Amino acid sequence: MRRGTSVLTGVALMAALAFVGPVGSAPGNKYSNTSDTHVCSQADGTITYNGPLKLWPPNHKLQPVYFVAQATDDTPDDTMVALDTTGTHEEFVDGEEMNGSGGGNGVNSGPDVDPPDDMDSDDDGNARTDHGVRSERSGQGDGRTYTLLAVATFDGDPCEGVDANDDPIAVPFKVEVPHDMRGGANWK
Amino acid sequence: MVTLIACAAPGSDQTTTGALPRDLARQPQILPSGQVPDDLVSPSPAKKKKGKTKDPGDTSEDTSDQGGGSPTGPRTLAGVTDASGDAGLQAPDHADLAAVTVIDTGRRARIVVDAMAPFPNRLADGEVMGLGVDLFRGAGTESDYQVFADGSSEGWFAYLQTPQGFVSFPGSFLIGGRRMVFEVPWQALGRIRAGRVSAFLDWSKRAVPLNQVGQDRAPDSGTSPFQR
Repeated sequence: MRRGTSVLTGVALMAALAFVGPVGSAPGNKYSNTSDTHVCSQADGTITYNGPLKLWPPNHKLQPVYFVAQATDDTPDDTMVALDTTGTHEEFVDGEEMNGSGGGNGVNSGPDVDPPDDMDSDDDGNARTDHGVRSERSGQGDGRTYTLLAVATFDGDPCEGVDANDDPIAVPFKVEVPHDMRGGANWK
Repeated sequence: MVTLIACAAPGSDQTTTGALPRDLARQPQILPSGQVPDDLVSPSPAKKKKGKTKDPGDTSEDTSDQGGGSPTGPRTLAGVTDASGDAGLQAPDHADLAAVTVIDTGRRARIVVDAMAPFPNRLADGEVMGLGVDLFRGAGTESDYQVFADGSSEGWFAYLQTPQGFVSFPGSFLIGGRRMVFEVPWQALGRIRAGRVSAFLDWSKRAVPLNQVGQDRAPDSGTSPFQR
């Protein structure tokens, strides 16, 4: 079952504080104080996305996010945890992938989801990866949705999600860049 | 054998806490176009800081180092002009960049952005604009600091993004006619003394079947150097 941080505050905070400092540790970037936790059903652990679920303003800049995989077994400090995360987006309008003007073709030439420096794998019960997710979308469409994918193992047991056919997939986390703050942003 | 059991689909119980970036933004002081001092963008090197704008609500401290603009007066560090009609066929003139100027007032950077037509105080419903001025310290492709103005039917909001993320906008923000003026302490810009600058302006408006869009840059490609 997937639960929000309000339910899993303790786990998320422990995972973050254990080795990265406060949740949303990017100084000043208060709106990064968001998390979305996937509780593994086939392994003793969680994967938590830490970062904004909706990016605003669409200023073409990379916004810092990070993932934490945290063992939750009886001896978490001795658990081997590996975490591999990636991200992409598919911005479509009428079936066509958009990369047009109005905020979507990017004034920056870098990737829209930059890869982490390295994939974390350690035997101390937790692992972390850091990304930047670009806050931009095509002006032509309704916004951009990033899919950030996480795969973790806890002592070799995989933590995965499933697709519509119940086939195992990487755990997806969605991050949106709305066209505007009307309606879809749903922040008020 | 490990049995793979489905976890619930993502997106069900997500929570958002903390301040939204808009809470860190500053809304502008709106002036009639005729009341925007001309020497905001064309400072005389011999003049004192006449014409310097300060938001009445701006209580930020000017504790940064003194730049080349003081004590002799504001000094233009970079000026980029941009051709008209290059923001896209659908873009209105207020989404067409005309010029970007960076001025050293001593303790602050004054960034002046001109468009080809007056900026609306509030955009039409479904119309959004994003105006950004990127400051690069080194040779990287990602700017180190960015002043960004988000315009919509709700008005305008100015943001400052730093290497540490968004911070509470530390300076003043003025709109008068076709001109936007941001003043930010150099301290908030990492006391950058030399670098490069570029600006962009995104515009879009909801429409069927596709939204109308426009995009402009100054300079059209690359960046313009500056040094204090």
